[in-house]
Amino acid sequence: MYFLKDLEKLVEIPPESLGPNIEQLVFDKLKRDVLFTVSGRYGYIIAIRRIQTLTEGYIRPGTGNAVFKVVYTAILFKPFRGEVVDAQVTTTTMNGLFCSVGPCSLFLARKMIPPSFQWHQEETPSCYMTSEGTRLQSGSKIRIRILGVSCEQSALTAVASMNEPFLGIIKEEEDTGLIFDEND
Amino acid sequence: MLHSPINVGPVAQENASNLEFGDDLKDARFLKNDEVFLLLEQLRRVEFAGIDPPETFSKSLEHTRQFAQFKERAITEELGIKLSDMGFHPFEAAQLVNLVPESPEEARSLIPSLQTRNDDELYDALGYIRDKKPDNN
Repeated sequence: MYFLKDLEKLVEIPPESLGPNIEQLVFDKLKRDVLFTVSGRYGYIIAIRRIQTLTEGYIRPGTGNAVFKVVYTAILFKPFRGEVVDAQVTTTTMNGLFCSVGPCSLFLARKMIPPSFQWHQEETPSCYMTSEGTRLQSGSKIRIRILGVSCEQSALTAVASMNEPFLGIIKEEEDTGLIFDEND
Repeated sequence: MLHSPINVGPVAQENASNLEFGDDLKDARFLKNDEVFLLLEQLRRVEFAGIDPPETFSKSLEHTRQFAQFKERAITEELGIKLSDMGFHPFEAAQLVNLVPESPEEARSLIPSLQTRNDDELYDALGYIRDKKPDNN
């Protein structure tokens, strides 16, 4: 889910970069330092909404850099375990499928796809399909539940399931209507 | 200076089914897809006019564009106030507006923390959200 949160950061400006309009310099450096980074604690920093406070700078001994403490409001995205999200399928393989929710990539193992969907390698593109011909392929919109999240070096990845009542493919024509698995 | 080190954080402590988000996110303000779409679209026009935004930004914008239900500031604000008045947790309110469940049963299945809510409360909330949907106006 997306959320707003106030975060704190020490921004260092080297002496040769100091000049008039210091607020703008600090803001630009803050954006270079934090935008689009990811952490296990807060998720992805997608945008900076506004600067809340900017303290007076001080000189870091030994380097001459000016250091400013900035509190800013960020727009973040983090997938939570147990959360239900709408996602778009990016790739399908015989072992499962990948889908994306904003900047985050999620994997659904074969077991987490309802058993009524069978793998069809021979189709173009290869896809999961029910006996009635409902296709689950690259570009399909699906509603899934996040089962677990892990943080790697530069990305959050998650595993999810759509093998549960009220989860499944979201019909293209009518966004809220879901096709449910018969076994649910 | 390098980017902040990657924190391998307390992901394991979180469980949205019980509204547990860990100590780090106590003051987080959860957003509906619609609100994020409007905020990012505004930022895109100001900061990335004429250029392609970075991937993290463009993927988020595209995701919220696809799945936002209302895309009108006045409606999302009104829904936020109404659901907050009805005593829903901000995470539950955002999920209700993002997912627009059709029945109390579906709402409780998708958002397990709503198990404590009775059918009447959920019918009220869901009816109120559905009435604001563009195809109902």
